[in-house]
Amino acid sequence: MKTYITNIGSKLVTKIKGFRITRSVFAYPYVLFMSLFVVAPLVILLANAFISNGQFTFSNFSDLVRDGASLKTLSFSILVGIITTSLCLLIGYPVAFILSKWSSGRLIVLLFILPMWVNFLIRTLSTRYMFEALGIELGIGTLIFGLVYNYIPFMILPLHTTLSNIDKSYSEAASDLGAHSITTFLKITLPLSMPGILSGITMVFIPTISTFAITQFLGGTSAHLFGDSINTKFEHQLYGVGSVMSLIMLALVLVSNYFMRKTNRGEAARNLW
Amino acid sequence: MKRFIAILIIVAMSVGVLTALNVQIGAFAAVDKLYVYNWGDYIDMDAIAEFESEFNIDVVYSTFDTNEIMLSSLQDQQAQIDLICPSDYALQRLIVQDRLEKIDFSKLSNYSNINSAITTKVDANFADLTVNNAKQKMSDYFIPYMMGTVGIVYNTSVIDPEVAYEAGYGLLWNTPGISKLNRKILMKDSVREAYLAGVFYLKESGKLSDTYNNMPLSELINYVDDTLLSQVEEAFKEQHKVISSYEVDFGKTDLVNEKAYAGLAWSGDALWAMEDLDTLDYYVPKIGGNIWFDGWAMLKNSQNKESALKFMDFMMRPDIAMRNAMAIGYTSCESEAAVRASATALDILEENDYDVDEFFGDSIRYPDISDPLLVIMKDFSDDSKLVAMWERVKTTGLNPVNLIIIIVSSVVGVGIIILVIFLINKKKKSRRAVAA
Repeated sequence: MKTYITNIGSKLVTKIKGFRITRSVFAYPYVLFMSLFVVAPLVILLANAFISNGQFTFSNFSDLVRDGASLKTLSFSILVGIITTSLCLLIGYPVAFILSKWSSGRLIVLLFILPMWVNFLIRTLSTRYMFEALGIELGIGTLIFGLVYNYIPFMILPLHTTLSNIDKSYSEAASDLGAHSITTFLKITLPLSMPGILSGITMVFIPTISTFAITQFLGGTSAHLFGDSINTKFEHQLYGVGSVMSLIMLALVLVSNYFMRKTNRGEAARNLW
Repeated sequence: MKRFIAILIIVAMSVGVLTALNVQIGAFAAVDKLYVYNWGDYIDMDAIAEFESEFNIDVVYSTFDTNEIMLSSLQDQQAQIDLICPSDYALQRLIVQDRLEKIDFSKLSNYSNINSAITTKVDANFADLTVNNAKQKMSDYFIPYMMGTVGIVYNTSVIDPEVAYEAGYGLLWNTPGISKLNRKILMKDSVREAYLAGVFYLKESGKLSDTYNNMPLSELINYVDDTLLSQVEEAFKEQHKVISSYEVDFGKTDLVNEKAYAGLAWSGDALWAMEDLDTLDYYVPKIGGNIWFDGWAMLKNSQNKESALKFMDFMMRPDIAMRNAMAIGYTSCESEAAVRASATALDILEENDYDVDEFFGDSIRYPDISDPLLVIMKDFSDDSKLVAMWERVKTTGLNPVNLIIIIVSSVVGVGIIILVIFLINKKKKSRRAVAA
């Protein structure tokens, strides 16, 4: 018995003595944080999705399909998400492209980030008042405007980083070899900026679908996105269905992440943020 | 030394995580504590301070925005809350779940100050209340605090009062056909209030079948079935054309700023808005309406029951009741006689420029509680169908123009994605060619 205790004691001592401040040790608090606030909630979410009235069931899934509203909202949200993302890309790409050429680009990028320092609720509410002052009726159009306005920095930033990291000599070489500037752009710059585009798309698309405050301010009567729907479900204590819907969101995130990784494989400039 | 500092940093970071969890290490206080959980902006904060100093009890005060949020946070059985102030139907749900403590009225000296018409009406409406298979009186579980009705606020400069009153709930559907009113109507984004307005509107416009029409109002308003739900849904889809938006909490301001001319509102909010803009008026349609009340109730697992009773008693003091009513603008459940008997309470009314007779004579503030047309809305034990109906109402609303815009832009979007994929493939092919 005695030897056993001393054994444990000496083991403990060696453990403590062997304790080294390696870099990974600094990650422990973060791991703790992540497991408490990211992993644990996800587990609870997963459990909730299969529980109704304290019993294991699949009824939450069938309820979701049966009530008709949620799936309709989901498809509508995806549509709004696609529109918002493509508009962000259409506006954001040229901006990022031009900015990467200019020497004063960094300063102007700052101007794009500047509104992000103002709380988005205040910005959205002000947008609403501006629309009202201009006499524009709130609806899908104003909602998409609000979404694009709110999420465009998330498109421009990764694009700007990637574009300004592309070695200029590539496009110079292309034009030296007689390529037209459009051909240069299509064959050199655009493919090389693909990681930025993909990262931008993911960073705009998923948050758009799950938005819920912007729709309430700018949506008028016709806009109700998936995020609003989840919010309503949890507000009315329909935790089961709400969890299933959150899982759908999560699945969307995972799918887009998978595609991003797949297309991104072997590309440089992965650390965009 | 380096190692020591590093360990210190790690410990500090971990402590940061734990504090975020609200680990209460030093919760050993000498003073009695009372955890009160109330609606936001629903009390005179000075009254709480006065209670604290008078009884030497430390009040820990927190607030909620909707009954649903309150109910969610009470799901945590261990939550440290003593007193709550929910609405009628939420009280009902909590009583049925056996979460509320019966009140020991022998320890309250001011209970006689409460308007007994309220408790009578409540007990009559919740006559079938049972807890653990034993019949219970609802009024044994709570102290009435504030009350009011749900009705319609409108702008008299746009809508003639007689026309409005004649239209009843139809005003929210613009049945009088006032062109200035189109797209200037606010609807509450609240499932229960909306359902109520929808059912009353259907009854008023004679769209209900006899089965529903012959039901007494108090039953009809608490009745949910698929036919009625789909009829209400149709009514709301029809309403889409005329309303400006589903408001959450900007209704009052929009009405005062004349951005909207009519809307569904609680009487307290209506009185508040009417003070800011003279041309606003409020009515409960003649077909009938909802009367509601909020009350103080004590949780079964409360650790501070004595303090909670003291707080309830304090809230029923005429002067405190009037101070709260002045601070928040809703109607106190204190009886007229009790207020008139208290000089300090009358002083408070006077300080706020109210004539006592006018104050109590105002039928918006003090509706006839015993009126059978004013009904109480009970708890729908299963909200999911209602919520789904309301979401379907909010999801439809794509008019052709919007649809075209959406289709065009999605085509553009898809085009971009195809282009992207095409370019990636092309690049890979060329790479393979090089490798070969």
